[in-house]
Amino acid sequence: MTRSNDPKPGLGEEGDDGELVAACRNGDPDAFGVLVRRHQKTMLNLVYRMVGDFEEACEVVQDTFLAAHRGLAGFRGEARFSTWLAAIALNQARNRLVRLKSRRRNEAFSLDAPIATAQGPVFPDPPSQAPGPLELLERQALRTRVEGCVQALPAAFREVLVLRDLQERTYEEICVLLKVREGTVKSRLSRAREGVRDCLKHARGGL
Amino acid sequence: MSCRPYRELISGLLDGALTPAERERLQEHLGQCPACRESLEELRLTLERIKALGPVEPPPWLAEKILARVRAQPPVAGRRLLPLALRPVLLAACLLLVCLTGYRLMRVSGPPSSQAATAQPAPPVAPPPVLTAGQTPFTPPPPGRRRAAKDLATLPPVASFTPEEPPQAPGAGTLGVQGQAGAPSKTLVLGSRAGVPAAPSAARSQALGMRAEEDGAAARTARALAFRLAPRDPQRARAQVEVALRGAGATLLTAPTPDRAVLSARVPSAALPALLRQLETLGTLQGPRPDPAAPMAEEVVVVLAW
Repeated sequence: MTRSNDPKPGLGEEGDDGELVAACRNGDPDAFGVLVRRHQKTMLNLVYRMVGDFEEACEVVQDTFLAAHRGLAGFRGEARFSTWLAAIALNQARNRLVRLKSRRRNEAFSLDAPIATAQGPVFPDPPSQAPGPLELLERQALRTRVEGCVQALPAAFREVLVLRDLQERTYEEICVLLKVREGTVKSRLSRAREGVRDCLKHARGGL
Repeated sequence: MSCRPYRELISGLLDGALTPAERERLQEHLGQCPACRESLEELRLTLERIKALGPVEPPPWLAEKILARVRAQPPVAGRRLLPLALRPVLLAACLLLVCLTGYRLMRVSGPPSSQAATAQPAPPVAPPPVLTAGQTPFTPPPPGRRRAAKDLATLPPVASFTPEEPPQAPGAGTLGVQGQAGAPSKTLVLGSRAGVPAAPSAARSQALGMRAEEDGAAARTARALAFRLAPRDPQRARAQVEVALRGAGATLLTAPTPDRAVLSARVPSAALPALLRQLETLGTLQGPRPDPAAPMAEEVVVVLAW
């Protein structure tokens, strides 16, 4: 049986996922490895945009797959495997955020971190050690600002923005994932985009 | 004019998620509202910025680390060792095994109770009786066994048991079941519960609810004979009785208790006269003396008290 380790978008992927899940349940030691390699990137991006820290995100992704492996027996195929997995990842990310929030409260002030003000976060000058042309520096600065503004959103709005604008999931899937109605998804998405816009407008460098 | 109702529509427009009617309504508003047109452009730019973030690549070690942690997990009971598809089959096999074992145990178990004999004419199985008052309390059979007995109780009656008259001596009362000393039915109880058929195939037929043939039914059905022994040497009576029974090729059905003993055994009919003669050497034996000319089953159940 040949199995692709790369993510395969489209319906065929889900068909393969179902077979792999069944193989895992029947004790196939390789099947779960294929699932991990197929979905790790999507899960990492989802978690990274939620948590905002790459190393933390890697740990959350590990925990996500461990939880999924333990819970495979309870996966009944009512949702797609990727949706089920994303729901686990979101839960793990939320839990990690709670812990990080309390930890960061006690951390020393970071020169690179955005400064929270009444008008939104203000970003200090980007690190000067990055070499390269000015354009690259400015692009990196803009990227940092956008990331900071996404991170500055409340989690309930951030997760909708990440799922829709970065992961390009459908409204229906987001409804299933978050267990909210479509009207709620649209409302949160609108407010999340406006939040990032307002944040960027107030940050140094502007929109 | 309030722009609030159009905020979500602007976001929806960027997604291409508007219905034609919503789109038309928004376009009409945008034509009249410069602030919303500006907002639309700002949000379009914001969305570009967000999408430009792009994906991050997982580190090469991530998958291996995940799988190493998965392998280090303790296996969940029953998941890896037992494939899901096989579980119902194995469960059914276990249940069948339990039922068969219970049925076999019931067939070789001790004599039945008076309740079983009177209320249910011939259930082939029942819990072992408490033979005398004040002795070991009744121990209910395991659930599987009780259930089997209940099922079998619904079967049609089998060939009836014809007991010998119990000995009329006062001591015969020790054969009472559950403290009902002296009840005339007690010997009947013991015998009917024993109900040992002459051949295993007959028992199987009875258990399956098949009607026993009328002719020769008495000959195929075991009889129970109750005796009371007043031993000359009470201290050694138990051992002597056991030796005598074993010498006659008997199969012990219940073990004697230390103080007052009641013992039942299946004895080949041919060995019965010799057994009775040997028991008479141990003391005074009260009980029926079967007629050698009468038709007998291959085995009889002897219930002996002393």
